[in-house]
Amino acid sequence: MTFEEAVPPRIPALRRALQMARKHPLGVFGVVVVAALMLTGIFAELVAPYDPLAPNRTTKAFAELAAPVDAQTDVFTVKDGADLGHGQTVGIDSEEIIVLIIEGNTITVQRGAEHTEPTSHDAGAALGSSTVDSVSGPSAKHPFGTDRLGRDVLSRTIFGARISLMIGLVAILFGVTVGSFLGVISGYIGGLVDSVIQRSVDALLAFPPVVLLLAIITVIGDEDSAVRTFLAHHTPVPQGTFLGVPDFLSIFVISLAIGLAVVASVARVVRGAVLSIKENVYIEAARAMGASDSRIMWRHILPNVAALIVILASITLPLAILAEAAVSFLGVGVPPPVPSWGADMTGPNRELALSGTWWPVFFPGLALSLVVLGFNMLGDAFRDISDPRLRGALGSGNGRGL
Amino acid sequence: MRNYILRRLLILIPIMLGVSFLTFAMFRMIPGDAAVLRCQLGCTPEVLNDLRHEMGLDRPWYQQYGDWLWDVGHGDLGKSLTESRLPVTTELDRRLPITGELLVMTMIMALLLGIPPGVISAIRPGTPLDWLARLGSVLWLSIPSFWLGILVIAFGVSWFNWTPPQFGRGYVPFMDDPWVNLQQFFFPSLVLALAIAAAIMRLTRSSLLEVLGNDYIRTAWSKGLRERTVVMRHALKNALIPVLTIVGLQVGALIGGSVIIESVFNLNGVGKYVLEAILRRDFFVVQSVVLLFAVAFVTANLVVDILYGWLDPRIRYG
Repeated sequence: MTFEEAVPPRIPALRRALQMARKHPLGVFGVVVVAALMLTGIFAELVAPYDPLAPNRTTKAFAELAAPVDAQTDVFTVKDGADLGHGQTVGIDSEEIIVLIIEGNTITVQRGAEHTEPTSHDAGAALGSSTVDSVSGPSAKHPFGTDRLGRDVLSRTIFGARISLMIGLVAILFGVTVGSFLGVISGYIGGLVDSVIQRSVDALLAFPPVVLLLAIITVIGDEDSAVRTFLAHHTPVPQGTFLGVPDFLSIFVISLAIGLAVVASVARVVRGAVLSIKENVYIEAARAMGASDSRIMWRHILPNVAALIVILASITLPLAILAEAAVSFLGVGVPPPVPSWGADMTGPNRELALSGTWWPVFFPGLALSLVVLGFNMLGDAFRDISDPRLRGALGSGNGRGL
Repeated sequence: MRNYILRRLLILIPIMLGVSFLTFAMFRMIPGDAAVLRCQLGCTPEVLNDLRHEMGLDRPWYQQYGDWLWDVGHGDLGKSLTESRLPVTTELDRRLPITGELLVMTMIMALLLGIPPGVISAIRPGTPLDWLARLGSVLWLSIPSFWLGILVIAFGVSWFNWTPPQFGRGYVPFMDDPWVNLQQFFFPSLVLALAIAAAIMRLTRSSLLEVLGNDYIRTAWSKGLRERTVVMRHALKNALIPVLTIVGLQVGALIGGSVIIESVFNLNGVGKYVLEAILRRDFFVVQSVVLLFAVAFVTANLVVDILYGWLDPRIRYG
């Protein structure tokens, strides 16, 4: 086999991209899903049909009878302006006892009542016992249905994309930066520094990942933890709503925790690469020219592990998104009422699911699975393409890759 | 060989010390300890101090850590800091069989779901079967276990009116009632096994493809052996060696997964125990259980390394 046969000639970039796309339909699927995640995350306000936090109380039997005066209050007007007379009846709205006070053609919902006597009223029968129970199945108005508080599941899923993306990016940026820094130092300096860093990495990697993450979150996620207090008082990290996300500080702290959990493995991999790079002649040449250690590390070695670092980041990003969902699911992640895919699968929504109301849990999980699937397919295609031995034989279905 | 095992066991000691010290240090950094959490409304500083004293939390940290380490060395894993003051070992007696059964069943399912499709996919590359297996593996890798778990329960209830028997009934040991016991563990294990099966399937496929390209396989073919013999007797044995590594590495993921899946399927195993302990700041429980997890994880990898040499005599332990 001659050289020309072994390494196929280069083709113009655009044509090559199209060729790749044809040979890697699954990779294209990955690109589309990841792009969709980014766009929905960034433009959530434009895409979402409703406010993800605003309860919507006009569903089920009640919706057929009355419409709300406005979204914020619990006052409803009876459709067609029919007069229902006067009286009150008792209903249940998401485990809370409510009193419906009927005055002619308006119905006022009173919440937080302890015990009440229903006065007999004809409208009471019409409203049914589960009067303003806000859960409603998928419908034309709410394609993904509404949850326990009557919030639109579609809108929450869309805003969940933003939270996932935000946490994933911050976590990876932080974790990969710190990990690479430690890896380069550990690999280049060696000696005692290397031993200390590597033994710590050993200990960290001996933890089951989920347990480590839970422990870190408990430590730094606490209301008055040192990290949180420091971030709140000495850094510009906003505490309230930021970029349409309520309680941004908590979310930032969780991102840091997830980032910390990936530091160890990044440091280990980068160190390995640095160990082999540092043996190159050009490093020796740089040293002979009088370059300082820090110059060699950050100007000569770092650019050479940059590609590896980017690959590490792309592998860990979906893991970080999954990790966020997992800890939120376990109840130590994103606090309510922030729309997070993981958090929406737990608590009251989970109890609803266990009694057959599947949609508030189903759709956020579906979105999460799709995004991770997209990243995985993108990664697979990327691995196929980046292996130059396979160039020309792409997509033949044989060997390597998947 | 014996020297190698001994050396690996010796390396274990500093790693375990590191793990235990890290957990210890992390949990001391949390503001508000178990005493604060136990102290209800109207708790005076005196009561709080008494509680701290009773739990031994008022001593210097090195004393607390040293004492705990001494006790662990003597097989005493400490006591829970909650009102019950239950020794960790008592809880583990009750919970280890549950987690153990979950992990073993998961591993068996992962191997059953991973190896056969991997083999089929490797001996028939490019066929619809291959595509199906590969697509399945990407899917299983991407679906979060907790979501799938909830859906299994939710659709089980609404379509078949079936709930896993541990809801409301508690754990039933295999010896008492094998049928109920298997019902309790079937779905949690299946859900947990899918991602691991996917990893096993992918590795089986690529490793078998590589082995099938070897000269000795061509020799086997040219001798006129049946495909079955070539694949099963000659190729698969060698192809499964790298698969073993993945199995070892997956033990860590498996333990982490058990924390989540036990909470989804209401199994009172060790995973659920440690989750509750973390939320309650129950230091000693977390410390001891995390140490146990780390030991299990590192030992699993050691066993895999030893098996490796036994299966592949070319590997020498240096």
